Amino acid sequence: MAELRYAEALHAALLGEMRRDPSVVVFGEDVGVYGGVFKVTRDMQAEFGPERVRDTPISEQVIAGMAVGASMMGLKPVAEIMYIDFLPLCLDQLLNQASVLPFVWGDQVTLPFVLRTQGGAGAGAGAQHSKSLEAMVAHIPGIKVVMPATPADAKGLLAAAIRDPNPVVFIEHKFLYNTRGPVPDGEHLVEIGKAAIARPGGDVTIVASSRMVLESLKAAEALATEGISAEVVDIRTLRPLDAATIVESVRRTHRCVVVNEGWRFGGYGAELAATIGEFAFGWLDAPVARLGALDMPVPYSQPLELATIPDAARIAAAARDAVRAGHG
Amino acid sequence: MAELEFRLSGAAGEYMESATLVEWLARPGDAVRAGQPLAVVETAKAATELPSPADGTLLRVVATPGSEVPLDGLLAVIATQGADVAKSPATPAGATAAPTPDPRPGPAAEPAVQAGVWTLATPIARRLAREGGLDLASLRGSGPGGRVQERDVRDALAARVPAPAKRERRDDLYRRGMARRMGASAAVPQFSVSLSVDGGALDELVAARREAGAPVSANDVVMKAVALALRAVPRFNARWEDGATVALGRVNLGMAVATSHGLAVPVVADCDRLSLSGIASASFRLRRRAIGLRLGPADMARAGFTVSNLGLLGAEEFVALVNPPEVGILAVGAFVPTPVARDGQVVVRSVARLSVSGDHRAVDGADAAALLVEIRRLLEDAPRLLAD
Repeated sequence: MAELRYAEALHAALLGEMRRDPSVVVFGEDVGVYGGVFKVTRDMQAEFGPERVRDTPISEQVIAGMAVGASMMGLKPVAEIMYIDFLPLCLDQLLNQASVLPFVWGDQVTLPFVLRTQGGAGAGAGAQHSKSLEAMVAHIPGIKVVMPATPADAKGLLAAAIRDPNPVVFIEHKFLYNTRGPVPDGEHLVEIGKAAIARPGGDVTIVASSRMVLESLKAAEALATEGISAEVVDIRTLRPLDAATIVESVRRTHRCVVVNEGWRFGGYGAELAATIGEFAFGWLDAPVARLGALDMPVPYSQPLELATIPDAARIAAAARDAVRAGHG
Repeated sequence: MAELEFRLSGAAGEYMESATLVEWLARPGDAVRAGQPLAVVETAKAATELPSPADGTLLRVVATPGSEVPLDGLLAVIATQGADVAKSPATPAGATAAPTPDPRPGPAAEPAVQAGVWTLATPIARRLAREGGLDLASLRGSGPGGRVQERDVRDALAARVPAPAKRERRDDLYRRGMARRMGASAAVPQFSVSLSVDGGALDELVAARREAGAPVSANDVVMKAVALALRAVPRFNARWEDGATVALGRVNLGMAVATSHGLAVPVVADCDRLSLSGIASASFRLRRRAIGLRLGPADMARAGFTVSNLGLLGAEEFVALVNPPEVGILAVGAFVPTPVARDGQVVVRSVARLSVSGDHRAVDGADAAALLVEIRRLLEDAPRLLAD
């Protein structure tokens, strides 16, 4: 078990899968010679050549279209969309091609591609490079959506996504690339569709994904000093959602805070809150608290930027309110 | 729109002056169906379940457990199907319409709906209150806007004096009824008279019935003999009420039944008019219901006399206490082989001791002797006089 950065763990997964399966190919903007803006594909073109690790023009539509076509023809493409802010340019391929072709052609085709991208605010990258748009793709049936929070899950889930016969949108977080954690050596697979209890607790459940898991863990740490035991559930996969783990947790704690870095209105937190309402209603002792980004573009000014997204302090406050409702 | 008043009269019948409410079997807000047991009351005779007179929702309960409810007294109010619960008088003027309780059974039927007021409570508080049998409306909510929360219910449950289990309380009903009635019996001036009866003819009749494929028990035959004897000695077919004897037109005969919950005394109505088979099936049914704590008003007809047959349990001779306001009771001992004198010879016969106790304000020793002699005459010529 090595201590790796999140970006290194992703690199390890890609390397392993490309060595294991010659049909795995990588393409995207600056993934070849440059090794990717976050260095996930560093040195890979040198090992596998420009055919399997290919630089593309700046056209997300082309990248997504290539992934759809190549996967239908038998390859396992791992395409990279540099910023999730440009994922909407791929939406036609995802909505009108990838998610419907197996259905309209009676399963005569499969589309085993992975669209890697990254999102999230807090890096001063401005309104066009800081969004969290996972809810937009999680809305589409037929597309799996994965968001690892730890280096180990980054490796295990990416390998699993590459082997998955369905289209997978694999969403990384620009703030997580340099986080470190223990990562199993060699082949490491994490099942898609399984949440993880990132921290066990008994008073309130905090459901989060991606970087919000780290903020939730910080919040739980702060709450523990106040005598509040918070359980943090890292959903890891947005679609399919592991509702059972969440519901089981809420039925134990009776209070819940859902955290998502995307916009609150119509966001993924709404899906979580509704699921809890449907399946854990009789166990709730407080309304489900829902944290998300303010409904506005992400400001360039970093203090303002950070004010628009949930953080540990806001998560802890929501959890405290849920636990001490009326006792403030 | 209908609110139906659930009164003791409608449910219990004319033979009951009052009853003690033992427990409610439904809570305000519960959906109820016609015939579904709503409450347990303790009458002069036994514990009785009162059925709901209609389909609807139990709106509010008026009588509290432990209280004495007079005949025609109000027990509860039921909102019948279609009733608008929100418009019940208890809703404050100007209040917005409260949700109508879901009439379907199951988790949706919460106990929190009382008199049309919705108690603000979290789902887990509601669940815990329902499971713990707590009325949410009785709790003070510590949450926003007075919302009852989990902690409030847990605190209330923890503070509650542990109540005896429901089953135990119901099991104790017959014994408590017995205690009250026998306490009253101690105030009755009583006497008893006894004689022996030869069981040969009785055995003959029981054997013949068994062979004929229509079996009856010796006790069924005794019940019929007593019922017919009461016709002949009507002073014993009476009750002592308000300082006077009240003669009864029908011969309803009480039957003491020993159960694991105590003594119960259901009544075989019109016992003198029933065939032996009719008595057999009636007493079988009454025993089953007594043992199962399921005696209802129909099993408690107004009687003046009771038969207590401890001979069934092997007792050879005993004196029973009158069950007021009845005026008499017959104690039946076991039939045992006994040497007796017959025509100057000592022979062994199956003999039982019978003893009649009476309320000396209503009957006297001569009445008791006449009744016993008539019972003996019928039993000792049973195949001819008691066969159907």
